[in-house]
Order: sequence, then structure tokens, then C-alpha cells
Amino acid sequence: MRFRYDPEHEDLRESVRAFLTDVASESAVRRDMESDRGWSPRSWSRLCAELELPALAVPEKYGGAGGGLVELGVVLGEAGRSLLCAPLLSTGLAIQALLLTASGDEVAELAAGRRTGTLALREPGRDWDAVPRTRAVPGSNGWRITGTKNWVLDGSSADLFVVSASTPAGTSLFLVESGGGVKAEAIETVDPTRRVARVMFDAAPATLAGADGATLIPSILDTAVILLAAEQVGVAERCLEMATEYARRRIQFGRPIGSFQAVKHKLADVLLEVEAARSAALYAAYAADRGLDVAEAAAIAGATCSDAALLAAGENIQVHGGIGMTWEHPAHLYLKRATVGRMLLRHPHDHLERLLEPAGLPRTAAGERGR
Amino acid sequence: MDLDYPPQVAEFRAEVRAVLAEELPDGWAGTGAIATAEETRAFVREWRRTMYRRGLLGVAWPLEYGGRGLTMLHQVALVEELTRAGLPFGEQPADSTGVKMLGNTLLRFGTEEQKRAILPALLSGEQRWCQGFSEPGAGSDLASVTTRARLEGEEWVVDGQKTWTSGAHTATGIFALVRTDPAAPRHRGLSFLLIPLDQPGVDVRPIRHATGGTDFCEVFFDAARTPAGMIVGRPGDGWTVASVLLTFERGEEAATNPIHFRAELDRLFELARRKGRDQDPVIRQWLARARARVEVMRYLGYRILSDVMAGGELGHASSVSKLYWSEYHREVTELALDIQGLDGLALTGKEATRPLRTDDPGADPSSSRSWWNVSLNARAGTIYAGTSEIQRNILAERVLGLPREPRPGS
Repeated sequence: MRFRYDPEHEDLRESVRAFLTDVASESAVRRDMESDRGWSPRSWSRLCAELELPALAVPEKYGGAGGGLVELGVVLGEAGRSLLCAPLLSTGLAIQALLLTASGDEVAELAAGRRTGTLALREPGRDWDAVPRTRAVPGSNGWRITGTKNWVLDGSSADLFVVSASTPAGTSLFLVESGGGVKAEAIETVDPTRRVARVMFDAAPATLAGADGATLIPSILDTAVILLAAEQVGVAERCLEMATEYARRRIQFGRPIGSFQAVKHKLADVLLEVEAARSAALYAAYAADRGLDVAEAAAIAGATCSDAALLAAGENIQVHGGIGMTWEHPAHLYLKRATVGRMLLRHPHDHLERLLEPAGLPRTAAGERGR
Repeated sequence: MDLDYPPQVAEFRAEVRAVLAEELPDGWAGTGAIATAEETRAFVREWRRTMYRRGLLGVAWPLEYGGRGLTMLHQVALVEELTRAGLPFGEQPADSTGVKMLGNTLLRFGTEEQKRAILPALLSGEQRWCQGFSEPGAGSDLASVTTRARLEGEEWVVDGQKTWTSGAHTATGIFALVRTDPAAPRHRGLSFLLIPLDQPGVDVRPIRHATGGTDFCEVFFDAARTPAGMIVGRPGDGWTVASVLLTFERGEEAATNPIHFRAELDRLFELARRKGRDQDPVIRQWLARARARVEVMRYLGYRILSDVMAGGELGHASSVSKLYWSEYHREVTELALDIQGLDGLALTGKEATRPLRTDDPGADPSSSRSWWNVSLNARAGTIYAGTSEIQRNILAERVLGLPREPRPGS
């Protein structure tokens, strides 16, 4: 019985944190978020070359370190703490998707940091796992894909897209290279630290990666929810630290505001949710690596960590008072990251609803109509 | 990272299951499923004797005091199996305050004489001990206790009053936090004394609880006496001993709370189905939220058990756990009342047979009386063992390191 990080995890965390102190300092984040690309190729190549982060959760046969989601989660937690601007989650998810479809060459390219990748699954106004309107048509020179995806992470800069599309046989996953037939348009969102795009595919050349999309996509989304949850834990932890540190030194009425129970209790309630989130994210990553109750654990982590991050980011601003509402202070950047992250893959209400059917409370047709 | 138990514990778990299979009646569905509260209490009394006979009380205690010399994780596996089978660990509250809290405290701080005199008698049931910490003027501010004890020759002489003392009316002794040095600073003037209850200087008066039951009492001391050797630790160590005692509950609770709360939530799901509320989108969100929270308790429990296993200080997970489950329980029992609506406030069915937390496993999901009792238990849950407000102070000061509240005049 040992449900805690191993010393190797603590070492990994320490080295990533030390590295990000430099690469994702507040000034670096502000510079990167205002750049055209939204991230710095120089910092990214250092993350790939010196820390080999994209290769972390990749089997050794593809040149990876053989880790799992627990290890990748440690890294994403640190990325969340610092608001790192980099195609780490997007490329990491593309890799995890391709590992399920055994597209070895592309995995090795992405893992080595030579290229970046991303998931293109969601279509405007629809759920991530809805049957795609995007079509894939077989031809003499392979498949061609036509359709529009949005909320594609780092979609304007990605080299490789993992795209869901409908074929006459059902939903499948395809690989599409950036270039001919692919047009990406940046979407302006609430969160300047994470770039997303609308990507239009117009008879874009594609390779079939996985035929059985109906099985693959839910599994990829569970992985995505678990990794995003790990990032949200980092966001929440950092916000709680900032608020606590400020409450210790800000003096009003002749004493630190953190000595007032109104402030203490607020931060204790944040701590409660942060600890819940930490436990849920760690369990979900562990469950995925060990093949336990992944879907349930992912939904719990998704709901718990999303809400914890938003709570912590919001209370951080409240404790800081006026200064927390300024552009100069980083508190708003965390609030923005938490706000988008909370709804990015699935609303917390939807995560929660997913827990009920396996627990014996399916929604009946009558209940469905009432929605 | 590894959530498995070691093989020796797995073997012991199999042994426990075999004992349960031998000892339990056919068709056993948990103490909650026994028809009346009277019969439930009678069963539990008998069950406690069975546990003693089969060597299942104090398994982690050394052999010389009647234990089996196993580990804390064996004890945790035992209570998990009991809980899953819908059985209590002995009789409550006596075995919780006695075997679990006092017993483990004596193993850590007691003299050889105290251990020989008390530990085997706790297991046999001959001695039952209750906890005397709170006083009318010392609730959340526990360090301000005024019950005092002075040494007169070979005896401590005790004067004062304790309150909220669970099980005092059936106990044989009370372990009490008393002031032995009025001149010392608040925490340092306290000692941990063992006082027999059957004596002229002690008066025990049951307090009627909001549920109508009388599971706790006031205890008055008027020149009550106990031998000089009945102090645990040295004079002035009382605060330390009491603080350590409170941590003994944590490991077992970490394992059993999620099982009890999960079984209760399954009953609530069934209630929602029976009342036709399971398709209401608002109710569904609350049920799902409860489901997530019970699972988070399970994860927090793994973290606490890992800390226990590592043998070091209990970490953050243990600090947040009490606030987490007690606030959860208020929410989920209010949900139970909401699901039933007005008709749920008309009391029908069997009463809840446990005075703390959930009703017993196997309880009828349709008993409105049980849900009402449990919702009152839940309100007590955010008060006893440190109110939610005190828990938040502890988290803010000890975990987050925020400054202490300035004391008047300091």
C-alpha cells in the first residue's frame, strides 16, 4: 500500500520545476503568450532535448522513457503551475492517441521533438465524441478528408493532426500533415496562454491510423481528461500558494490578513479541494497505467480538478484584492487558464452525469427528453 | 505507487472471511437488515463476544497483552472486511474509545503495570473506558479545561465536570484531561488520568440527544479518587498524550469511512429510484457529486494508509479528511431529505442503529426514520472531534502556515 509519488517522481518534479523557473518564468510566459505562435520554439526544443519531455510516456521501442500517465502527470502539473506556453499537452495527446493505433514512426518523430502534433476531434458546437460530420473518402492515392474542427490545441502551429472522420464503415482516426488542403485559423479565447485553432480540411491527404474510432476516441478522451486534470492540479496548487503567501504578508488592521478567520477559512476550503483534486488526479493516472476503472476515475478527476482550479484561481484574486484584478499581476492568467480548462474537454456536469449509469442510475428515454 | 496489500495481510484477510462465513447466520445482510433496533443491539453484544472468542479484537497488539502481534495494516484489513460484511468492530462506542483509542495510547505511553491491568480487560470486555476531554467551558478551546486533580498521598483527587462523554453510562472508567498544575501555561498544566467511574465521588448523568437517544453523558467529579500510578505519561504531558490518541482513529477511519459512505450512497440511489426522482436532472447532479466525493474519500484514504504504513507523520490527506467527510455527510443527508420531500418527514421504518455517521449496512433505503436520524448524526459530525471551524483553523495554521489568531491581551 503505497499511494504516493515514488522518489523518482519527486526527482522528476524537481528537475522540471527548476527548468521551468527559467523557461516559463512569468516574463517568459507573458512574452510567449503575446508572440504570434503562442510559444517559443527555442524553449520547446530545450524541453525536448534537455528534459526529453514528449518522450516521457512513450515505450522504449519508440525511443521513449517508458513512463506512463503518472509520470506525464507530474510534468503537466509543473506546466500548470508555471502556465508554460508550449505544445506539450497537444503533442502529448497526439502521441497517446497514436500509441493506441500503433503508428510507430510518427510517435518516434513526435517523441523526439522533431515535430509537434495535436488532436482534431471536436467540431463546432458539438461534443468531442459526437459522430463526426467531417468525411473521409478513400481514393486511388489514399484517403482524403473534408470538414472543420475547432478547439484544436496549438492547431495553427501543429505539424501533424490526429483527425476523427466518418467513413462508410463508421468513425475512424486519420493522420493528416499540415500543408496542402489544411487551413488553420487562430481562435481568440479567454485564455491567452493556450493557443487553439479552427482547422479546415479540404480534401486533405490522410492516412488511416485507427479504423475503430468508436472504441479509440472514448479512450483518448479519458487520457486527455486525466492529463488536463493533472495540469489543473498544478494551477490550483500555485494559486493556493500565491494566496497563502500574500495573506501572510499583507497587513491590514495592524495584522496580517491571513490571521483573520474569514481569510483562513476561505483558504482552508481551497486546500480541501486542492487535496481532493491531487488525490483524484493521481488515482486517475494510476488507474490508466494499471488498467483499473479508468472511465470512472477520469470523470471524477475531470470534475474535481476543474472545479478546484477555478475555485483556487478565483479565491486567489479575492485574497489579493484590487491588485489581483490588474493586468500586471499574474492572478488573472491563472483564472483564464482555469476557466477554459474547466470546460475544454467536457463540462464538470457532464463528467458527473457519466458516473451515474455505471453506478446503476442510467438516464431513461423520459429523462433524456426532459433535458 | 502500489495499492496492493502485502501477501501476509491478504492471507489474514482470507482468514477473517473464513471466520465470518463460519460465524454469521445464513442469509446475513448486515446489522442494518435486522428487524428491530432491540434485536440489532442484542446481536451486536453477542457479535462482540464472538470477535473476542475468535481473537479478532486487538490483532495489532503484542501477544503478552492478549493481542496477536500483527500490524496496523492487518487491523485495517480486518475492519474493512467487517465493514463490507455489515458488521461493527465490537460494541460502540466502548470499543472505539476503549480498544482503539485508550488501548493504542497505553501501548505507546502506558507503564507496564497499566498495560497489564487494562489491555487484556479491554479485550475481554471486563473494562470499558470512555473519553473525558470536553467540559462545559472547554469545547473548541480544549486547552482551557478546569477539571483539576491534586496528588494527596498515594492518590489523585479530582474535582470538576466533563461533558459529551459518549458511553459513560455503561463504562467502567474514564480517561480524562485534567489540570494538575494551575500555575503552568495552558497546555503544559494538563495531565492524562485514568479514573474509575464506580465510586462515590463520580456522578454520571445521561444527556438526551436531539435524536431522542442517550448515548452521551455529563460526568461530575467531587473529590473522586484514582491511584497515583493511574497517570499516563508524566504530569504536564496530558496535551501530547491526548493529541496522539486522536490520531489513532485516522488510519482505520480512512479505510472504513469510504465503505460506509458508499453503502449509504447506494441506499440513496435506491431511494431515488423508489421515489421516482432518479430522472430529475438536479437530483442527478447532486447524486453524481456525492458519488465523486465518496470516491475521493477512498483516494484520500489510500494516502492516509500510505502515511500510516510509512510510519511517519500523517500528512495533509489526514488533516483534510475529517472536514471532507463531515461536510460531505451534511450535504448528502440533506439530499436524502430532498429526495423524499414532505412525506419523508413523516417518520416510518426502523431507526438508525448507529449513533455516528451512516446507518448500518443493510438498512432499509425506504426508512424515513433512518434518514432523519442520520441527518441529525451528520449535524453532530461537523461538531464532534473538532468542529469544522476548528478543522479549518488547523488546516490554515498547521498546513498552510498562516499566522495564529492574536489572543486578547497578547
